[in-house]
Amino acid sequence: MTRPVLDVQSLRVQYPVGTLVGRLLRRGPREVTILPEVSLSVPPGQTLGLIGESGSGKTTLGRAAIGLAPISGGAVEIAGIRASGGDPKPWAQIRKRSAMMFQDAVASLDPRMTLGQSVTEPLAVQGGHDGNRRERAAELLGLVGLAPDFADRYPHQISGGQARRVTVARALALEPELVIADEPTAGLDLSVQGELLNLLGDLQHRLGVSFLFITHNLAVARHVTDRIAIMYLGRIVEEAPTRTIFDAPAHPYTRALIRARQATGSDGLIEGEVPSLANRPAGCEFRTRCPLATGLCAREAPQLRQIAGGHSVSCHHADAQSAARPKNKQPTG
Amino acid sequence: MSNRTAIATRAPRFATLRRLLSSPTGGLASLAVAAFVIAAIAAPLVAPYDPNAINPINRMQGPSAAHWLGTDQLGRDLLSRIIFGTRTALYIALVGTAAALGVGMAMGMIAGLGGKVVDSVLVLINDSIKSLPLVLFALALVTIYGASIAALIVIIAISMAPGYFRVVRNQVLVLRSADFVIAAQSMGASRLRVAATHMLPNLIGPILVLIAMDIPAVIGIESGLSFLGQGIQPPKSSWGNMLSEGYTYVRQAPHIAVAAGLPIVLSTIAFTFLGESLRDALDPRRAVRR
Repeated sequence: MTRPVLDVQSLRVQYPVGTLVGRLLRRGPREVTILPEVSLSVPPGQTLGLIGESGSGKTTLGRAAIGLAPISGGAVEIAGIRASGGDPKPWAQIRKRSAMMFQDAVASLDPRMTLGQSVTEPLAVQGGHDGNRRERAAELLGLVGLAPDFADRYPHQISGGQARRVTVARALALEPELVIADEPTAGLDLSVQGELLNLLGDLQHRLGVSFLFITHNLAVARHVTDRIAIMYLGRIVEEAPTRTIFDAPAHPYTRALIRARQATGSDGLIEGEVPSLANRPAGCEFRTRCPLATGLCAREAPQLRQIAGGHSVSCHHADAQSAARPKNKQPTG
Repeated sequence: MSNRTAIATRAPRFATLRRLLSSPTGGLASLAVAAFVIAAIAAPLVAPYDPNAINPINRMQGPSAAHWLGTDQLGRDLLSRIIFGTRTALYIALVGTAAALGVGMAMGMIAGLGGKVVDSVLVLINDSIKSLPLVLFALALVTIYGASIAALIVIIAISMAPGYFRVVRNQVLVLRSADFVIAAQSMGASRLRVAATHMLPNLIGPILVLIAMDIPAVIGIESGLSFLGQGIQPPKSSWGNMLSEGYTYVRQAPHIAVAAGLPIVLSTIAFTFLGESLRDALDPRRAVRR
């Protein structure tokens, strides 16, 4: 098997919380765990969709993958470079080989920089490629279908869709092996969304870049991903090829998500609130909203295990479910 | 946001200046500020008389063709003294504000970029300074170290620095979690690069506005202390000590106090309006609307 481009190994992310005085007096929790222990990998040239509700830790995982979150355990390997904890050197290497696209494209461009400066900023940061930066800017803008004169404009002078293209161009500036795209279709209307997804697919085909595609939008994920990982409360609860996720979802949460997308009424929606990260349920963390929850789920947290080739799930009752093979619409109790 | 507006505004730096000068208040204020600056720089050329030339025969004369604003109790030309006073006022405003800006900005950057403990300590220091009653603090310092321009500048630097500290710190805290800053970090940009290329340029706008708004306050401090006899010492002219002298003779020759008060009022209005117009001109949302 070929080496994955991104390999996240038992990554743990905790943010400090509480006031200074509270911390000194050792009162209350001192940190909140966003990612308890996450592992996933993206094979070269492929796209892995990372799916979950808001607050599930998708964005944190994306940022932690290049060391932009407080990592308290585990490791990340990108393009063969392994980084963990606080040593900045491997992270610097990793950031050279990967790129990030942000949820809010306009906000991710410095309002006081021209688009040309923004697009070539990775080159300026890394020092290399000292040739003609203006030429390179025009080249990169051309790659995403923007005219060279965009290089002289400022972020507030362009549309959301154009800003998104600019961030794609910027992400490709260093010819990275991995692009982490956080909700790249957020805030775009459907036609622009379609254009952008086609552009990303086309670029992947031509440049062989891998994507970690973070989204809550299942329709988009179905369109562009090869594999999908479903996240709940900072844990991967199911991972499988995209087709399998849609045809034979094994985890009740995945099934609920897919049903919620198809539902016309409220019957498909997942009941209950997402539990607080500071107060995680014991045992299986989905059991407070799960229609299949039993005593076992309260006692014991399920481990991620393989139920078929390339299909992992963390649910005590996943087997019973897959056996039934419901075609997306199964009445729940 | 159509393409047309995008093409219309190409070079925002000059656009800001153009917007500033095209608004009536901004244009007038810029003109008045420019007049004060020219008067200060070219005082010996502009002033019709030696500001310290005493002429007892001509004392306390009202405005005339020879002396546009009249003469004071020693027969000195008031206009010339005001022009040289402008020099003192702007010199102190400039150096004092620059010192306050340097100290406040350095502390603000450290507080904004540093850890929680450093931040809390710096906020405490600055809040303590802000809570001091300015006039009493200034008088105490002058009593200990004597009245001098250096003492004035130190007083101004200490009392004005917390304003810059607060603006810079808050702005840095906002910028620190801004997407474009995180984007720069995701490319591997160093802390220094992020601070220099992404934070500083985005701090300049609010700081410029604050400087323009602060200069009248600094002029007020200098004038106030000089009026109380604790600032600029005669015979060197300052708007404050001229006002103080005019006050002594206000019954016999009210024009002295009026002439001395005029530049204080005018400069305050000019710099305040300049600050407000600058704030409007720098507002990016206005930039889009035009």
